[in-house]
Amino acid sequence: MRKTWRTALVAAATSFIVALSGCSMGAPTGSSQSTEKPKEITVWLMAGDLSDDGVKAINDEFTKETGVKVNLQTQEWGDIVTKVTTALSTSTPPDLIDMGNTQVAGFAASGGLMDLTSKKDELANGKTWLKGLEDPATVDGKLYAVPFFGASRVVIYNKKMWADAGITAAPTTFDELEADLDKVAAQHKGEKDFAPFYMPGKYWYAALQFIWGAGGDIAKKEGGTWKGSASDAKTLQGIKEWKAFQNKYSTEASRSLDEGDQPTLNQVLGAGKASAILNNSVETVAKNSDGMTVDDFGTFAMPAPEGGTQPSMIAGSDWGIAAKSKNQEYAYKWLKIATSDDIQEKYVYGSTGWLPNSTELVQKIMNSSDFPEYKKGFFEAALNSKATPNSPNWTTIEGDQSINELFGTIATGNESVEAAAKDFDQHADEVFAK
Amino acid sequence: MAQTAAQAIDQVPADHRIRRGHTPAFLLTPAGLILIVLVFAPLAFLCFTSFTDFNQRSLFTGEFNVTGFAQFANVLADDEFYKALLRTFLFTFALVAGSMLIGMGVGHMMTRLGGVMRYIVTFVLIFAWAMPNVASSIVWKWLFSPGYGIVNWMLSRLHVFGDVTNMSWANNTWLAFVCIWLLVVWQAVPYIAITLYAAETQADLSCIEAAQLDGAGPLRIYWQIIVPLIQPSIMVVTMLSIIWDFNVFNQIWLVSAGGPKGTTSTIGVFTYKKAFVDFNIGQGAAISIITTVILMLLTSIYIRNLLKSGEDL
Repeated sequence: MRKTWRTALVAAATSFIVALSGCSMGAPTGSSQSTEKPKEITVWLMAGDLSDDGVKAINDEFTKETGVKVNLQTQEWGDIVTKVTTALSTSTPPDLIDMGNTQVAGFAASGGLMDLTSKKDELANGKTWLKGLEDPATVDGKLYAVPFFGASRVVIYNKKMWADAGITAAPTTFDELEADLDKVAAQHKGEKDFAPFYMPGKYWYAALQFIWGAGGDIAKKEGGTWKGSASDAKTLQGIKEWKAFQNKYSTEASRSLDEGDQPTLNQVLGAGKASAILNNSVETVAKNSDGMTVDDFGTFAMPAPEGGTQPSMIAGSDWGIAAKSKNQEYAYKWLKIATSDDIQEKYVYGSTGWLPNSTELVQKIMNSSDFPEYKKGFFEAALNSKATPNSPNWTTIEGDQSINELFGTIATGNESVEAAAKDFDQHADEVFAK
Repeated sequence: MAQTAAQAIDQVPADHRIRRGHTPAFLLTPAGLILIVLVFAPLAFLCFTSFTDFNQRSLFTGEFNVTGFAQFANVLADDEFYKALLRTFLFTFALVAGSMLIGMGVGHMMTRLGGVMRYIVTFVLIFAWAMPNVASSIVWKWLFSPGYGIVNWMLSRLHVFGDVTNMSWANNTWLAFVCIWLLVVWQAVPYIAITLYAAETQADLSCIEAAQLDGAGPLRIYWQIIVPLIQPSIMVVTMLSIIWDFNVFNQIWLVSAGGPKGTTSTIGVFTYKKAFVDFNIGQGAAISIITTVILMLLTSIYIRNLLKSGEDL
């Protein structure tokens, strides 16, 4: 009697384990579309990406058109790659996911997102999407996500501080910028923790802009495979220019710090401990300051030492449809509304303050009469924007922070530029080879 | 007593006896089911994935290949794996030695304190202990941050190390280890101190008095009388410390993220990076299994010695 009981228990446990592991392994390979109309679709939106009235406008329009409700869930940025990976791997993933532009390639290449190539013309509607948003969403010529909004990185400066130092107009060349920063530095001599231009050493977006300005890149595609190119002559030149600038105009403590470390760039500028930063939102700086408003700041695209402006490292979001979603037809309808010109103009730009997704809309808004001055830099820079290499393995390089470390070791002088670049290339080649 | 119980069982009818046999099994069922779902099933899955090339793609599409022992071969051919393992053993040793010595010191100190002081010390210890380690890691990062970090400021004020206001702890292998060591030891000491204090209060006073009469100094009394008396407690606490310190992950990940250049990556950080940053899940699983086997071998040597010397576990 006792033996039977024990055998039964073991058998039950074993079958349970097998059944359970079966769930995770035998996931369906193709998405089976449900034929009937769903009650609701699930949408994952990143925190801060769209204002509440924007969300409402899209959802109302969608429900009016289809009669389907929207279950909108707001996600935080921390550990988002792991979260989205887990979500996309379940059999009932969120139907639509809002992703950081540089993260799309990784999810797309591993089969997590629906191929939208055939719908491209319909979605773009004759417009040209911002390159920094479209490029990373395109893997091997196929489109896996649709640009939603952009945020270019430009110089944000404290107008009063610059005026006090005798600067009357925003600089247009790199030499002028340096001369202006020298003036500000002279004005604040003796303030130990003051930075004329605050730029943490591990803030790799800024370093990439210098590299692009010099005509180099951090990785390149050679005969079908991606390779690290930190050791190329032009890239090295850009890194050296960046190091000289960072070491001269930012604080010594900032050399080993990162964007996420406290105090953040926005806090430093907001607290008056710096006269300028390279970042993507004046609103956030004002929020982090003691009573300053957006009009207290000016913006301009970062000039390159080689002349002209540096391509701006564009941040932003793209919408993708989960490959395993059972409601792809409806998800697509929602996506179409969210990326339509009307929503872009009124809510993405209007109430949230981001750059719209196409160059045509950027131009149109810039030419409008009520266009605020402090936005000018962002819009100009958006027309010359660039994003990270769109290799599917790039997310690993961001995830393991080897890119942050590359610039951290260079800024602190732990290693020579050449040695650090060589190490990075070796690591990048290993990652890309997977 | 056992006999009476057996007699009592003999007297109850047969069907009752069977039901009584079932009761423990029924009582264990909820816990057992939870264990099966949350522990055994993932463990079985882990073993399985270590023989495959399971990665991010497999998560989305369910496709993967069985690769036999390839993942294990990859791990064993990787220099970084051995470095991480060696680092883990050395760092665990430093953590256990540090927290045990300081814990023993604080525990002994508490026996000498008056009532009020002792309550205050206990209170403070429990506070440090009760702090979630993610929160304490973030506070630590602020304390040791270059520029505005209070530790850097205090060290500069000492005028011993020169101006170290802008020194970055996480940017140097040794400094990063010192910083994490301080953090882990700080949170490990309370448990050790309180447990050993409790053990010391149970120690036989007559032994100590006898030693005092024979003219032994306080240091000698501690090491030659008290320590042997509380040895069982010390053994247990050391064992637990080894287990906990070997598994330290949060503090390292949050303070240095295994940097600079992976030189503070212990085996936990190394595995995490492989499995959840690279999403090379198969290889991550293989590393875990190899580490477990190594730990089991070491533990078995220890247990064998223990059994040989005739002690209880």
